[in-house]
Amino acid sequence: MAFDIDRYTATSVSVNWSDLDLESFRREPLPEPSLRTLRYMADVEYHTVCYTRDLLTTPSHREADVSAFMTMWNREEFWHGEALAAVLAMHDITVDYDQLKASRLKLGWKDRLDPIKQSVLGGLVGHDFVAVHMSWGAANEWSAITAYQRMAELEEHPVLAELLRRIAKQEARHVAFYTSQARERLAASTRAQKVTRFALSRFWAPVGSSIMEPDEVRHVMGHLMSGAEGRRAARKVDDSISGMPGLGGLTIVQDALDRLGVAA
Amino acid sequence: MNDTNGAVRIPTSGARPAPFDVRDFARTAQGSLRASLDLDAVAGLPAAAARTLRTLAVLEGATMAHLRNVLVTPTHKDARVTAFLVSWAYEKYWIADALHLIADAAAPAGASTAESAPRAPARETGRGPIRRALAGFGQGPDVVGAHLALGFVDDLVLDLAYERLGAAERADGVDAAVVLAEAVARIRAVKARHTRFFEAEAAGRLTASPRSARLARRELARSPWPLGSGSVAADDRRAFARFALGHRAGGAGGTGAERLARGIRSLPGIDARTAARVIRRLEA
Ligand SMILES: [Fe+2]
Ligand SMILES: [Fe+2]
Repeated sequence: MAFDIDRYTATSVSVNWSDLDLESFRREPLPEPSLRTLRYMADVEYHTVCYTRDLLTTPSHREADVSAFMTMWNREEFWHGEALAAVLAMHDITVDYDQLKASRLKLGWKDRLDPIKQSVLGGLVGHDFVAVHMSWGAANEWSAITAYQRMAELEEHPVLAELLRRIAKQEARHVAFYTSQARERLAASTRAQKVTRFALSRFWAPVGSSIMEPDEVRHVMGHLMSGAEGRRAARKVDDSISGMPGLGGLTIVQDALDRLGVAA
Repeated sequence: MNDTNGAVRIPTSGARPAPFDVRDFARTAQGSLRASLDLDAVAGLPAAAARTLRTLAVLEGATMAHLRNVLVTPTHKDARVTAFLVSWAYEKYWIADALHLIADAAAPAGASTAESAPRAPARETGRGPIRRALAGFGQGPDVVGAHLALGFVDDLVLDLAYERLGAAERADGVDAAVVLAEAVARIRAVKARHTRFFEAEAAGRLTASPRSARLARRELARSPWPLGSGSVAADDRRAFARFALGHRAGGAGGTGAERLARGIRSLPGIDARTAARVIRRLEA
């Protein structure tokens, strides 16, 4: 299904929480492990703009659509970070830009090599790299929706559930964009399918793995994705990813949980 | 030093200006300008104005290519700067949208010499992401100041064109010109906050670090001007530069080129030679 980019840009808004009773968190605070997960989510949302580095400018009329989407998408994700920070603030946890900077400074060499690796890869496979980028984005957005849904189910906090529902609704539009782009590019090229299969199965890791400490990744995945319900949610994401052209049989989310030792 | 260029400055009245509030900027970012545009009234603008509008639209819309080039360097680690750039790109998206609409209403695409399609695809200019990332290894956080200086100077260049678009036609008293002047004033007000951020943040960093100032001189001297001009046809770029630099505003400000040079030199550690190089690249 075609994604209507003009409709998307015209209706893109920062997520609203002004009508929600955040004071309720003072009366019914979230438990410490949940706050730790929420903090991780906020950091990941704030870091989204860094993924703009993966954008390759290819001579294509669709590139204007990609640019327009990325502009709105960056801003929506930034506001997801702000919304989650507002919840954390009710628990006297302050997220400020200087702290975020400190966490990005920890990234080190691996992170700095990333754009080079990706540009070299992009140069080698040209157009097909865009298929990787779009499929990768789709996997991340599906994961984000799932994470927010799981969080809402686990906490049973009505105000948190409503805020996460609003955020997840925006993530669903991100999924729609990435999948429409990815499907089209994958369907057009078996080479794109092969490169994407290789990149996803070889390099994909849960969102935030490249910017957060391994302990934090394990905590969040254990918190949200362990047990039968967690696995079922993971399988659902894998089914969506493997439903794209040429990606049948991929189980990258379940594989990642196994690697992290998250109990099924 | 407040009258050195066409950019809107916040009067400081002797006191240091308050530090730029990035959160407040994000909260009050200006979205679509469509509702404020009287497109019926702009038909019949001179072809030169329509051509400049089209070029400006492409330049304003080239944010993602610029973001990508900047984010492969250590600048991506500065969360305050990246938070600013997110809303900056959003505001510029809608400025470009408004400019495309005005240009199309003034002179349907194809009627003017500029053939850039709406939201024209960006072509690569200068060094690609690989060379930038490799250069970034040696630069460290000092490169952030250089990138902010680029943003400031680009704003100065574009503002010269906006000033001329908004001022020259006002004298004619034609309806279309008045409507254009209003739209341009609205756009300049949105951009004034960007300029203020770039200027204050660049000045702080260039003052604090001589190395940052050296990197800024180098980046300024070798960047394509205006920054998004990789997406603009060569003759449109040249026409744009003539339009922006050749204009002599009222008062004793001198030509656009002279005022631009003064604006560039107002950055700490940026000399007349660097300013001359920027202008030479613009005029090339
Ligand atoms: Fe998000
Ligand atoms: Fe998203």
